[in-house]
Amino acid sequence: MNHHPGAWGQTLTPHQRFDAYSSSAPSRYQPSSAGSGVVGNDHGMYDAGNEAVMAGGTGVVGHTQQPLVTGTSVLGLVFDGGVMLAADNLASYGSLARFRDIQRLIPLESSKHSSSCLAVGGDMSDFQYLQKQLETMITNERTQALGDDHPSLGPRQIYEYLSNLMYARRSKMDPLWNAMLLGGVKDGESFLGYVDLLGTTYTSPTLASGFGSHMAQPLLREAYESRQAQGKSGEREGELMSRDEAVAVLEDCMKVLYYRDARSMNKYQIATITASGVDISASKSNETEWKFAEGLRGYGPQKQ
Amino acid sequence: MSRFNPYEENGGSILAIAGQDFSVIAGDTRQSLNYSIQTRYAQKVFPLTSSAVLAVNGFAADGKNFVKRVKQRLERRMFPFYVYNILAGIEEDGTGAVYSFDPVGSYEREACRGAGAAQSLLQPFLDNQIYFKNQTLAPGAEPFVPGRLPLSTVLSLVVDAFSSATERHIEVGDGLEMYVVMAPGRSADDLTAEEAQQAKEWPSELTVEEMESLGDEQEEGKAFRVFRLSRPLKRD
Repeated sequence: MNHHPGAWGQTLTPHQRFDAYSSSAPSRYQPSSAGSGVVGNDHGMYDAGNEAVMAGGTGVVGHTQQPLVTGTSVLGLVFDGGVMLAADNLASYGSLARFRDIQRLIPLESSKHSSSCLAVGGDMSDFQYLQKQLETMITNERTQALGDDHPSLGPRQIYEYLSNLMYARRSKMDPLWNAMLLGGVKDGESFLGYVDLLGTTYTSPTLASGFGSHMAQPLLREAYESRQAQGKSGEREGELMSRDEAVAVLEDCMKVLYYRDARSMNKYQIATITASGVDISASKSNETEWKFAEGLRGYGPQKQ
Repeated sequence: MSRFNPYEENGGSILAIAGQDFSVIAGDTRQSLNYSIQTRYAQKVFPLTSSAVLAVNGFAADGKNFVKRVKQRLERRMFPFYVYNILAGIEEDGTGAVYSFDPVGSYEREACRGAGAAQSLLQPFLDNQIYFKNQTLAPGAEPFVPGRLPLSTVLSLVVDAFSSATERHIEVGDGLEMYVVMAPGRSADDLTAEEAQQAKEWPSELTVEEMESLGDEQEEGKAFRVFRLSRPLKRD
């Protein structure tokens, strides 16, 4: 909005009237007495009657209604020594590969009992907010755990906190636009869970978000299950993948995603979460082969 | 621009059947979104007390939080939980009971109910097998009375209902989890005895375990019993 005195009292064109930052928005917790300042209702739940107020005009509360700078899929896999997570280093601005050196894996609480790590896709500003929120909570808890026998946070506790936070935000119709994987180890037990902007949660030995749920998850499941079945009734039955096998299958998945996901990048990191802590690899990339593209017919300018 | 949609459909199905002095409640363990299986094991059936078990189906995030809040005895009217609930247990008079609910709170006591993605496959089967719809009585035979089938018959009906739904509905499968609630004093032999489990009617690959105390105080000799039964379903 133009606050210059020269503009006072002037009629505005629709373009000038557009207030992208809701600069006149009142505090959400102090509804203005004038006009239709209905910003909350007494039962604290979403009221369809508020839609007009939320949608435009004055007294607007701005909510994230679409992601802007985004990270694509993240992958997760349980192996015999813990959990691995993978994410590439790209933060896109729409279809523009805007930020090419972003770390989307964040190590969380790591103590002698447990270690946890988060892999995040979706809106990067919501991710940064979340990271700050989580680190504050973890620091507070750790401070308490120093003195007495206050239990330290394990991956399941962090996951529960994260799930509750995401579900509460979607219930306010003000979601954090992310899909995340939390991996961790506590007392020798591995944990891998998914949470997204709707507060939907699930756990599984292999997980992938977004595009990865279509392209990588089948590869991860195949690798996991064939390893489980290997030597059925033999010595290796029910065994999990080794660290090297897990890295190999994740690298393969990241390559497949790079070939087909237009919002991905051939530069990624793998986090290895074990009882001894969280190890986040340096950025790496895969060998790729594009010669086959020469032979493709039917998409480009070639004639047969 | 489209508004943020706070709901999702996570597939799967639930079902419950009441008997004379027991009730059976079941759900599959697949959680899906469109054509993707999110996980092969997500719980839909939750034992609440020693005489009541709740099954929840619809939007999984709401389901989880609904159960959490039921356990804390809270209620909610506006911005409903997008979940269908079936509650099964033993009524105060000792009879098996099934109550079904819709997302806004309408409820009804019934002899049986199927809900969720495969409701349209489960319910007609139950109407035929439990309410004896479209069946004609043989001359001189006993009249049909719903809610009196023996437990063994009910168990194989539930297994058949879910394996059929698994065949014909992509969102149903992976695993079947059933809970059986028994009235105080009722013998559990038809569930636990070696003889019962060897019978021709007994479903294959079924594991049976009795639930430990569910937290509520029970009178000695007048205790309800809850059993958890599970069995794999096809994963394709």
